[in-house]
Amino acid sequence: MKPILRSALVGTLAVAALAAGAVPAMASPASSVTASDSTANLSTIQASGAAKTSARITSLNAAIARVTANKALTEADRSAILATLNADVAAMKSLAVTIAADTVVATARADYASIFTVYRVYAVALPQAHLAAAADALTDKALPRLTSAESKLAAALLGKFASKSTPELQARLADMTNQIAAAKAAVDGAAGKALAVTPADFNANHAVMAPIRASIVSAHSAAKLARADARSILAALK
Amino acid sequence: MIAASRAGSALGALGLVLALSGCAGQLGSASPASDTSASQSAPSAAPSAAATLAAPSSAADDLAAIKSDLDQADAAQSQSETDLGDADVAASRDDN
Repeated sequence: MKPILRSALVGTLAVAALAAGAVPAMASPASSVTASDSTANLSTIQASGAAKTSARITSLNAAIARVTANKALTEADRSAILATLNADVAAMKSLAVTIAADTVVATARADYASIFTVYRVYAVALPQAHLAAAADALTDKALPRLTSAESKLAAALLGKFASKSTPELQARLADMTNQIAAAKAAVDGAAGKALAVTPADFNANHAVMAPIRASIVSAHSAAKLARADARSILAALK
Repeated sequence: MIAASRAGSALGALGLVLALSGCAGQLGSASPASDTSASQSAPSAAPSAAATLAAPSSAADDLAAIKSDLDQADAAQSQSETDLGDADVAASRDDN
């Protein structure tokens, strides 16, 4: 998500969250700021805010290193992902400072809520980066190699290995062709769709990433079947 | 008579020279001839040997190339599945 848009949303969403008393539930009992706890004092909110922003910065930096090293990502996707992750790191650092400096509980609570509602580091930024990487690894690496193998197997069955060609092997080759097509269709556009999801989209629909994930899982299954077909043909030709 | 004798001697000498020359030619060319023979038989033998080796290795290369494609596809899908798992891990963390 564009940093500017996120910044513009901070105030609006934070106020809305504050009005709804929607301070996120805390995973740790030690941090006592919960959705039902409207009486958390300033120091508690600040401590929790520091922990939450710090955890996200750590996660974001780890993801940045992995995305940078990922050889399957397209350069365009890598650039988009790193822009979001780096912007979120800067935002988390800024929020940590802001929350620590807050002197009014209501303001601290609103700033704290924005960690979640505006940035969605764990719900959107990181998953969308990984989903895009998963999709790119299929579309740019795995499926082209499978297509290449399929062409070579087809040529082998018609050429040097024609004497070993059987209806069963031809059927496996046909299935391989179909599975590759199914995988391509399933994952087509998945990276772009993942990277287009915004925290606002997630706020409106917490299952917004589910169809994207499902399409990648479907592509994985089809690609796996295609590889199994290829392996069995290859074994028969040896 | 003398002239005829001289002519016969000359012809005999010429024959001897030619005979010796022929032997020398044979001897002198023996080594190059064997080289030529070797060099001629090598090229003719080389394609034959190469053809004998090329047929099975070409087929093996075809299969190896297919296997390489499949191995690369395996590795890429493994990476993709790892990325998907990372997405799940991130999404499972508290962010609501």
